[in-house]
Amino acid sequence: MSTDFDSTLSEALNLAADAAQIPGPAAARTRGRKRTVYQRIAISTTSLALVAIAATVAFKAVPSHANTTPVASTSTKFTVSAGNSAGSSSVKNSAGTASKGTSGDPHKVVPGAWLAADQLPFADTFKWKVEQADSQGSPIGQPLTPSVYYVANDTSYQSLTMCSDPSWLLPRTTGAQHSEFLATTGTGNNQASQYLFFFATDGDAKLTFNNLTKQYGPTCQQHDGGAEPVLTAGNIYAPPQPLMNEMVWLTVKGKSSAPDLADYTREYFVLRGNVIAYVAVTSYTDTSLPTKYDDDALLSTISSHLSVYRDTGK
Amino acid sequence: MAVGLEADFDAFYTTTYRSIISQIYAMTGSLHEAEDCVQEAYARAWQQWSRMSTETGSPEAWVRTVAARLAVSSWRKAVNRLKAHRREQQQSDEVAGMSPDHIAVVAALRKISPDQRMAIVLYHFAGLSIEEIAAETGAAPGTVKARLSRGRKALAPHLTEFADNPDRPRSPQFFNQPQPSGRGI
Repeated sequence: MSTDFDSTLSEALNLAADAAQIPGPAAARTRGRKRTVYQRIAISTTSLALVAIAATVAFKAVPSHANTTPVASTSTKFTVSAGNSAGSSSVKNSAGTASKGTSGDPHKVVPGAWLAADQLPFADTFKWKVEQADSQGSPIGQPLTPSVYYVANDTSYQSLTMCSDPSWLLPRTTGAQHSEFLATTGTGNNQASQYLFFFATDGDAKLTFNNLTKQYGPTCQQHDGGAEPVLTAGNIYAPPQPLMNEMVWLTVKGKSSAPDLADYTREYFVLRGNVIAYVAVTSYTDTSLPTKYDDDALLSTISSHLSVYRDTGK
Repeated sequence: MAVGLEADFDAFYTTTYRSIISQIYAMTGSLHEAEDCVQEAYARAWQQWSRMSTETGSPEAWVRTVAARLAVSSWRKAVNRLKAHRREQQQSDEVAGMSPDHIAVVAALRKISPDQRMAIVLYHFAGLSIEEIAAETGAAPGTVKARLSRGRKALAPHLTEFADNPDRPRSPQFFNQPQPSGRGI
């Protein structure tokens, strides 16, 4: 390759560097802290108007529970739908029945749909605390409450779940809601998240869940340098067996060549009606977390909260 | 995280951003893509900075590797395809001030394999040695040499084609060197 190639390449790339926007280290830290989320496209003015105009009601979710999600203040405007709050870890099935449930709507927060901090996986270990908007704002989306964010379906995600083609999740929804939790114990970087993904129809949600089950394993291994996700609860959909509505995946970094893979990720998926709930615990520093966990109990807890949404069974 | 860690990370970001963004731009051919991949890589670095800053030999290489991995991810491409048609106004990816030669080089890089592209960018632009590229990409030194050699051969027809275009003249020595005269290997 000629010297001219070297100099021309250098000139071109230096021009590109000159033209590049520099978001800055603070933005990178915020983005890293809020998981791997990046919103490139602004929420539509229609969505903003819906949130701003429709909501005048504030709620308080179980004042006796400091780390409960969601938490609302009287100064925050958002839309709240009927439903019980996820106030206590003792709540196992406090929400409405299937016939009384509401259809999932990404612009409406149903308090009963959300797990409390002490209901999340490894709550005893990490003492999760819900993260609320701070002075740096949030790159995640538009706050519906101080701790629950609306995420538009055209938001750019580098990696939402640990595995599977991301085009099979958020882009196919009508929007999502997200809440983030940080560990209050230890010094390591440990996080927990809960998402609710909303679909236009129950069929769309079912189709997406089906594809997630099929793509999770092999796609993951190829992309993440050989890391092998392990299904610890639920089943891979294989007709003619009926589609399961819940699954749990454990991914440990092990000897994976992917440098940025978390040491430990445990992910829970539950389908109900037109909603898919996603709960995940991610640790970048704690390799001692057990591979065995009471996933069935956790799935049951998530399911009980999701019962605020109707399930037509179609 | 401690304030000291933040300051450490910020200094690292400030001193390395320019070189990394230019290298990832060479990988993607899109400045917007490069910006997104690089910022994402820095965000992931921050997620484990307390450990990286003490245990990782070269955080810069780490960020570059992660950004490059994101840049070639088929997952990202799938998402971006979906995103692209939703954009009401596609922002131009042209970089101001680039000559036809510059554009030709960047476009040609897009036509060779990601492994070859990575090797060429790291060698000819970042100035890494064969051994350093091998360490960073997880390939054997011999493999790196092969990627460089094959990459150059793969580039040649694309650049020659451009040079032969009478509407876009350029310096003849750009393509006609039978052996590398820049950085030999």
